Parts: sequence; C-alpha cells; structure tokens
Amino acid sequence: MRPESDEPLSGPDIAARRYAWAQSALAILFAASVIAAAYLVRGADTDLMRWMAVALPAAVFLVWTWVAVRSIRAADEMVQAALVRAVAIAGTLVTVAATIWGLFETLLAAPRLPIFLLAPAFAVFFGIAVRAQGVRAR
Amino acid sequence: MKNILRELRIERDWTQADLAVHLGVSRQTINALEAGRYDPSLPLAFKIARLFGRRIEEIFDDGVEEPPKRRR
Repeated sequence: MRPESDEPLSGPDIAARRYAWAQSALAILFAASVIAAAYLVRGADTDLMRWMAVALPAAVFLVWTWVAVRSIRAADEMVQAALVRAVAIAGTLVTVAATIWGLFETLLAAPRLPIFLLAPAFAVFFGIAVRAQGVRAR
Repeated sequence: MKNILRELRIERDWTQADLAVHLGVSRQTINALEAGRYDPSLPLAFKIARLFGRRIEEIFDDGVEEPPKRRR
C-alpha cells in the first residue's frame, strides 16, 4: 500500500489544500491588520489617514470573503453542499445571536459588542458546522 | 443508498485517491459514497457507471423492489 503522501490528488483535493492555506494566511493577516489599524488610527494626524488605516483590514476581509467563495465554488458536489449548509447554519446562528444580544443591549443596557466581531463568530460557527458534517479542509 | 463502489474499486486495485482522480472529486467524497453516507447526483452517478462499464442500477441500490412489468 502506498503511503498517503504518495497518493495522487484529484483536482478538488488540490484546490481544497490550496484554499485552506490561503484562508489560514488571510485570517492571520486580518487579525494583524485589525491590530495595526487600531494603532495607526490613534497615531494618525488627518481623517484621510484614519480612513486609510481602517480600510486596510476591510480590504483584507473583502479578499478573504472572495477567496472563501472561490473555495466553495472549487469544491466537488458533496463538499460544496456541506459548505453551503454550513454557511446557512452559521449565518442563521450569528443572526439569531446578534439580534438577541442587540435587544438586551438596546433595552437593558447590556455591554456593547463591536459589530466587526460577527465575522469571527461566523467563522467559528461555520467551522463547527463543517466538522459536524464530517467534512474537512485538507 | 447501498452500492458496490468499494468492490469495483478494489477489483481494479485502485485506492480511494485513484478513484477520486478518475472521477474528478475529492477523496472524502469517495469515502462518503462507499460508506453510503452520500448519494451522488445523477451526472456523477452516470460518470461512475461509465467508468466501470456498468449500468447505474447495477452499482447503486435504493432498496426499492421494482414492480413486476405488465404484459400487453
């Protein structure tokens, strides 16, 4: 029997591996750019510089989203169906949680949570939903 | 849905990765198909049938008995 590393990779497997690396790198880059933006905004002299500082993580996030959509499109039919189900599950959970928290925040003065945390929350729910279906990124 | 995909693959001495390459799907899809955890789409079922030179119903069994054919 051949060792796993010598086995041939199909097109969808090669794409999944490539996109998993790209998305991991973009997630790290997004976190780093949010921290960098926080420092840059504090030190910026003009509004334009502040806007540009915040545009940096926003741009990284747009690229990350685009890569995530491309990865779903590149998957085969079974993995694609599992990923689309995971998007639906994560989207529903994040919407429900955000709405309930928003009610408490508005009506009962619960601690304010920054909206940009919805993306990492979505990523966590998405990851759990993908794993729960027995699918994995290579 | 039950199927004989694993038997057909082993007959040809292919690994799941080999079959995945032949069908252009991921190895985890082959694994799910063989375990009966995933039912393929019609285009994929046709592709599998053509690859092994069999009819779809010879490979996949939905467990439903065919009604006896009526005589004219």
